[in-house]
Amino acid sequence: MARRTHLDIIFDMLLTIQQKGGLIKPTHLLYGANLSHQQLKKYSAELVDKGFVVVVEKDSDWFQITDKGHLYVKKIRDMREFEDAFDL
Amino acid sequence: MLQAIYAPRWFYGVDLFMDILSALILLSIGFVAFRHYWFSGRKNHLLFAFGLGVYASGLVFKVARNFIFYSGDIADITLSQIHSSVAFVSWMVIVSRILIVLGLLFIFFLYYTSPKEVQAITVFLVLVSLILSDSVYVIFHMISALLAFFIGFHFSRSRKKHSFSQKNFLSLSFFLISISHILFFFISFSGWFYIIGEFVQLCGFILLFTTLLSVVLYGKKNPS
Repeated sequence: MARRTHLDIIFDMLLTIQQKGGLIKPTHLLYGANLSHQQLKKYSAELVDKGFVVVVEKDSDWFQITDKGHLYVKKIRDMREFEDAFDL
Repeated sequence: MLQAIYAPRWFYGVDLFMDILSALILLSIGFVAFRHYWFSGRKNHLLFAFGLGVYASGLVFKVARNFIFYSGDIADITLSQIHSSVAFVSWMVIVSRILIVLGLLFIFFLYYTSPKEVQAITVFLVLVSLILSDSVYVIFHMISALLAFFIGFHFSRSRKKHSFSQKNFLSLSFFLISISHILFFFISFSGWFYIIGEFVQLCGFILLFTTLLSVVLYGKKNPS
């Protein structure tokens, strides 16, 4: 299987959060997006920086997807649809 | 006397409109590909957009050349006139052919990957044959027909793997573009070959646009 690109990982993380109803525990995100602990730290920080998710404090730090995050997922989906159609 | 225009007079302008529409279709797909490149940084999108853009600019040059012919009332011109007063137009003919073939070549190389050296030599040989050959008209349409056929063939194979209906449109569209170039071989026999060729080519581009629309509309129907 081909190695996931940076964009693939971001997409998998945001999609996992979406599928969990928009709010997710870090451990569920780690398993759902198939990440190592280091990757989770690195990419979740990036998602927060870019405003795709916000940290919600519950029993631990949960991640909540923002409107910007939803929009980003849609953009990646559109791009993948285009890639599939034109074999890019 | 050298006949420079093969289309019947009533078709003047219709073919310009068809070529402009074809160029706009290519540019719209190229624009979407470029937007995706801007978003993702993926090189394939940029190459695809570039290939389509070059092809579209070739069609624009063709439109400009035909416009000059039609508006100048020089349907039948002598060879010496081509070399002197119509030198600018014949230069446009060469440029339009080179751009159309290069655009198709860039798209071809996306689907049939080969080493950079092979690509460079291929581009060089194609350019040489388009500039220096005595039968440049036939060579141009032959190369274009072959390239379009192989691009269509790629989508046809890909359709078998994925059983994806958009691939049917894409393979058919490039096969139609290929057929149109074959029809253009025969325009010296009858102007009808030019007319049918233009219609077939436009059908090919409309199918390409249908694919783009289906992709864009799918995204709109499935917002998340």
